[in-house]
Amino acid sequence: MKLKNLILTAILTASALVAFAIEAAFPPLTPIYGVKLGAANIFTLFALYVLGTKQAAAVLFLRIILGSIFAGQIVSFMYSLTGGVLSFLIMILLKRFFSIKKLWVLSTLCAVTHNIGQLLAAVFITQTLQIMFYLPVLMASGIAAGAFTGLCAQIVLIRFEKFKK
Amino acid sequence: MKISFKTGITIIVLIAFSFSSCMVDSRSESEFFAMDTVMTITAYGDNSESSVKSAVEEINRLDTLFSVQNQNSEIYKLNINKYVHGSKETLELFNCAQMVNTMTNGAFDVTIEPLIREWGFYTGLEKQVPTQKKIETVLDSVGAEHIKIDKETIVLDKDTSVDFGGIAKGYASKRAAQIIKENGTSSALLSLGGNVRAVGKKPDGSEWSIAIANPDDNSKQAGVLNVIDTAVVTSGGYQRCFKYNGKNYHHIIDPHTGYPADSGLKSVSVVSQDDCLADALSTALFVMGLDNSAVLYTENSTLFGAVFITDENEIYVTDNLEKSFFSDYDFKVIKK
Amino acid sequence: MKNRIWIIVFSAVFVLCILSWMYISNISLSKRVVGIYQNGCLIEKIDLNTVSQEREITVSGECGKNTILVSHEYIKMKSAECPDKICVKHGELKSLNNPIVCLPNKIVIKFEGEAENVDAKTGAVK
Repeated sequence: MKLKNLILTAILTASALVAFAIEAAFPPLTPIYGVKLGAANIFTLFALYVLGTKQAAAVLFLRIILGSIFAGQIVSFMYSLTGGVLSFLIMILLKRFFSIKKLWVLSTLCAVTHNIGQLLAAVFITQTLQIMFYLPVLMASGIAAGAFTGLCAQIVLIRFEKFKK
Repeated sequence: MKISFKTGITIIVLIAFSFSSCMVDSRSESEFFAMDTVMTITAYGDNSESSVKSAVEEINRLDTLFSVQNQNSEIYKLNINKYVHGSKETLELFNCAQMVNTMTNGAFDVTIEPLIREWGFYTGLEKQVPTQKKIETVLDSVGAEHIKIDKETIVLDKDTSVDFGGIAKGYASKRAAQIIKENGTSSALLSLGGNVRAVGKKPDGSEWSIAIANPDDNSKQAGVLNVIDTAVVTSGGYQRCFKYNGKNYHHIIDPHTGYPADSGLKSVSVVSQDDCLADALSTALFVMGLDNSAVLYTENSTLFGAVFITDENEIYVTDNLEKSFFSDYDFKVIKK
Repeated sequence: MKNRIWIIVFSAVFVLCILSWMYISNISLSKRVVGIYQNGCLIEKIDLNTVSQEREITVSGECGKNTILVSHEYIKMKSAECPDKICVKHGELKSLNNPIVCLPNKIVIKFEGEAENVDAKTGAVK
């Protein structure tokens, strides 16, 4: 690992954490758990395209672990982790099909997978199938949030590429 | 420069920690029993833990100082000996009580103790309706004129006793809020058995939302007040009552008549910067009724605001609260 | 070109999700906290989501006993000793606006509709 990359990864992780914290500070939009923007995702996507898979994984999972430590809830850690693992798998599997200009599509797919993963974890942990009622609303919110964060990452990345030249 | 994967992860964690150490948003909460009720104090941010701890200690200290039933309290000694050398806190409490007493023409009165005793509203006593004659006799010893304060000594007339039930919680929350601020905590919420006190703003910078209970169904709300750094206190006839011969008798006694106040109100919520004032006024306004309260408001609109719920379930809000009160029901505004 | 297809696909799924959510939330029980009241006093508050085993609650009044059946799926009046038994015929508690009422014994079973979006409450009896 190059030192430059290492520091960039650390800064991205910290930024993702801060984004996560700022988001957590706002009162929830809806009484439904899991409907949120997921701004921290912007940094994971950025890391994926600029640094690589390993670094993106570091940003994502360290953010989940540290974020859960700060928030102090083991349960939310389980939800985030399940969602995180699933969406990350989708991310690295499908990355080759999407260029930077189609980043928002990838992000949307990831966000939806993330929410489905969280929901599955919730069903598993609480042992109540009825929670699946939330599937449509979580999918819808995943589409909206994923498209938005993806678009943000996309804009930043395109600027970043130009900047590098 | 090559660094192994493990070291890399460790360094990332460390740097990330230092970059984001500012996000730790600490929160401290305590639920405890004092002054015959359940209290909760929640503080956020800097020194929240020590703030809560010292606030709880202060409230417990004041509880032993003001309790009518605790034999070591100054108030207990005052009621037995008819005089006491008052501490700073007791004198402050007296001053606040006397101020509201004058302001409301005696609708709030701490010398009401013998009446509450007759009606049996103290724990351990049988709730009962006293005879008219008994009430008339007891009323002779009720009134602010039966208290004399000479420098630091409080003297009561022979048959007079005092009860600070209508104001002690307010004083306690005032002191607790002060202590929390002195400790450097800028955001906290206190609920002393229904007396709510907001310290500063919410940790996210927004206003606190304080619900006013629906008098007919406490699990619901009649409306919500959005406030910053104020006390909100509600008095309602539904809070402690008993039924006798088919008639409801509640615990808020009118010092003028000796009977539970029958002023056409179900509840009064008072909003004020001064917890003590809010607590005493909520009782006084409940006794005075809507019309008299409205007159008092026009003269003192900088001191307090209030939300009234009448027996007919109409809601009235003073115009200084108009913009911060929200309700699913219609409400009318009392103009200055 | 391809962007447009994706937008259409996502929008379609989005709308579909919202529509099915609206449909589901009307029939499903998103609010699952039930209160049992007698004479206007809260006797018991139950979050049906946390009920794992079926159980019975007996409430007695001037007109004999009422037996309420609580389970994870529903709450209903199982039996009543009053003559009309309207509350038993009511069946399961389904709607927010349609509580189970037993007038003879002054019992009301209803969903607690209040969204507790406030920080504190003043004036509630503790």
